[in-house]
Amino acid sequence: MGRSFYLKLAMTNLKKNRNAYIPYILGGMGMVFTYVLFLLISDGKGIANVVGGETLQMLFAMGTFIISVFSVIFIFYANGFLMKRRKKEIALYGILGLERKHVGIVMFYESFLSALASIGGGMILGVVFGKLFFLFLMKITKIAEGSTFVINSSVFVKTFVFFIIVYFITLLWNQLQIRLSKPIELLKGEEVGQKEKRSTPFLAIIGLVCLGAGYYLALRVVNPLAALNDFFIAVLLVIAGTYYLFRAGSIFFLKILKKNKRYYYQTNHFITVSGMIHRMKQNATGLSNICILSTMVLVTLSTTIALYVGQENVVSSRNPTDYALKINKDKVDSKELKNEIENICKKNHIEISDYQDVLYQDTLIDYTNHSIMPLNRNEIFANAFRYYDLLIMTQEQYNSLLNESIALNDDEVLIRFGTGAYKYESVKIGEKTYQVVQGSKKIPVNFGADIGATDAIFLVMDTEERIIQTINELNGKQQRQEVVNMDYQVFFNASGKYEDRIKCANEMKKTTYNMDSNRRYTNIDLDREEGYKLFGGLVFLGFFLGITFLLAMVMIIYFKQISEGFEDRKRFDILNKVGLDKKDVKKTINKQIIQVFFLPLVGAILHVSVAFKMITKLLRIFELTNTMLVFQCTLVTIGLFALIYIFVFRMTAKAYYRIVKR
Amino acid sequence: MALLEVNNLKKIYTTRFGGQQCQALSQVNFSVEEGEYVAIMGASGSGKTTLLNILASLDKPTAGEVRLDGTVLSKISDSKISAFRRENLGFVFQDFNLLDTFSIKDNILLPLVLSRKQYKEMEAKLMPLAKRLDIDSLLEKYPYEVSGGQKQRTAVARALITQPKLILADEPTGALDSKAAQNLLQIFDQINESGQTILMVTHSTQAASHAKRVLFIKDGEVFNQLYRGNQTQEQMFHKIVSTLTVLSDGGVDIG
Repeated sequence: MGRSFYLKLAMTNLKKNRNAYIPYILGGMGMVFTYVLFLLISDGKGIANVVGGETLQMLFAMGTFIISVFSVIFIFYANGFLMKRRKKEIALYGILGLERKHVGIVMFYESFLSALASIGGGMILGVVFGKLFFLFLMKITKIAEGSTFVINSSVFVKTFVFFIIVYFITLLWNQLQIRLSKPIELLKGEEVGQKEKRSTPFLAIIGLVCLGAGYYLALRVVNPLAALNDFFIAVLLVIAGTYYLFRAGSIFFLKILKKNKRYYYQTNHFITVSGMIHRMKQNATGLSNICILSTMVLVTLSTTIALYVGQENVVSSRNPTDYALKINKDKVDSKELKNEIENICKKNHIEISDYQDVLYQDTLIDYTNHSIMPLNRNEIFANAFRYYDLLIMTQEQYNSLLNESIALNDDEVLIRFGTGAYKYESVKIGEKTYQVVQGSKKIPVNFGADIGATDAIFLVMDTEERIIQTINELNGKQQRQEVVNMDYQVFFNASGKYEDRIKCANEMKKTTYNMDSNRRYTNIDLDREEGYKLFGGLVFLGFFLGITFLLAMVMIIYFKQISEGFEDRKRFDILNKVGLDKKDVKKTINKQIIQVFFLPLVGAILHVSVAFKMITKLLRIFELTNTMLVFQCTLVTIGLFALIYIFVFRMTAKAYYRIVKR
Repeated sequence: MALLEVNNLKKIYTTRFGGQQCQALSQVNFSVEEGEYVAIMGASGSGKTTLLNILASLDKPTAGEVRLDGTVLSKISDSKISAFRRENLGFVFQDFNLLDTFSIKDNILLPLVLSRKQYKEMEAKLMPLAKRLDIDSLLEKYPYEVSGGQKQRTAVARALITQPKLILADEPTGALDSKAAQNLLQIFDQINESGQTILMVTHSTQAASHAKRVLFIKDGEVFNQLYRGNQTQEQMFHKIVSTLTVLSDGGVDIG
């Protein structure tokens, strides 16, 4: 037998199994395409020189990593499905007299051809549509100049090597399976795996506990930094909970239904309940995969979209005033500074308003039980919910700001939370305890950048010396530079033409740096420009990852429907012979599929709704404070996702019916 | 009036793109009285399966009619045919046709559930039947956990539980080993003795020799029939063998 015989046989096999191989190849193509695209952006020289380009490249390097991990999982999963379906056919070759070695050669050709189609197709898509998506990225990140789409040949080499290795490993895995099994076992390949998976009430309870704990963590969260900390634990708990509940919980529930004889032995319940038990036993893992993937898609898309849409909200909440400057009192005099700022603005045709300068010091502290303590850097995440931004000013400054006339003793402080009054009589700061004088008025100081992630505590003390001493004590263990003097905090708004504003902001940046290299400077326009890169990049990445997850999910649903179709055909026949109407058969089977396939969607929506609070807190780290906006974005994402899900379901259900009716 | 009357039954299959016609049944006439046990024998391609499908109302004849207890099968509307089948006919198939999703008990109860019977009624019918067929200890198991003989007895139980007018059996021993086959045939003898009408299509001389009457089909027609009368099963067996020899024209394999 010549070599061409095996090749021909492989081609015929691919053609015959096209309803399984086409999705497999298309799925692979999608992965390769995304991988190529991400690599082109992160690796290519096209945006290396652009302002903010580095941020983008880093983002996409991360994206490439995620995609590569995901592709491996996906390709193995899809390959497993294919193999399970084809075992019978492969066994038949063995029985017909093809040696294992020969079957191995045929399988090699099959894998090789399908891998080549996937990789080649994905790369061609990359070349053809790469530029389009690149321009789209440039558009949403508002990168106007200096970017070119460069097709870097090394990217294609990398992609090819990576994917050929992945496909090669799947081939080895398949070969091993064939070698290790007897033809008779292979013949029954499709029926194996139907064996009951253990489902004890115990597992169901574990699932419930995991899910409950995850949900509890998600709902308990009060503070963004704590959210960051709890997020991963919550995600792991929810994933575990989902798996156990789908596997054991659902069967446990159905078995309770089954125990109720009056309910169970009714025509519709009878077939549905037992069918569901059967399906859940086989499909629990696949269904929980779909559920988790759906949740991932929903979270990724809704957060990135919210960030992109809410950019203005982010920028304006990061910058309560257009300019914020913190500069050491020793380096520059208040008047001098104001003059300099006014000069720069005038030169750039910018008008200043709401100019305010305040002398204060601020630092991040740990607050519990009416005592303000230095941060413990080793446990920065564990105690995150106790962190506050502490802002200290002199009574002199306080009185002039609020038109008050308080006079504090050396053991008294005025204290107030950013969100409300302080309710206790004394407060311990570092080692010393102070009596509290209640501050009735809100303190009209904008923090600028720090207010988002943590809440604020305002503190008024009698002298500058005490403030500096306190700050140094509170900073003590953080190994920061010692503070020797108070800082000016300058805030003002600016108006003018956009180009002028940018020019002015850049000049201001330079000038203030020359005054004090340790100064802190933020400007709303520069921030916005940077934001476009970050959030534009994020939304693009989120969108693509979302699409890829979606693709994987579609594929899983498709393979499921196909394999169920083959099985149901037999059941369909038997039920008909025993005396169930054809119409009713279709109806009951339809009902089951709908229940089984919409369960993950319902689960995912539930997960996302519970995670919503946590997501809004996490987005506060990016200073996105508009909960309503996040809510709307999430709602729209869920709506669109549900539509796509239903569409996919319809399409695959058609393939399913074609099989069943045959 | 006979329980089952088959008059001038004819079935012609037409290939999908017109043209080729294939005559499966040309002219079949016979009747089955209540309480009879009839076996139908014939070579592969003689039209046995077609005949059974028509009797089972799964297929419709090209011409002629089948009357079950006076009702013409082909005149029952599509919406009522399933219910009719459920209430009047019981099936036993070569490959059992049990549903893997149901326990043995639920497989047996399936036709009753489909007829929307009360659970109490189902349970009352189940136990005596299961004991009679010696599957009462397996009720909670699943089809993939029991042997072929046990599966087939489950199928028999499923066929009997509705107390049908007629049991149709299609090669019931075909997938069983000789011991299980013998056991099943004895069960058929028993249920026939208790008054159940059975019509069985088979290849197996052994199986056919248990029947009270054997019909031979050849080229789509009833070619010959044998009555057992007072003969023993062994005598019947030899008579069938000699008939088959004549029937096969000395050349065709008859199994």
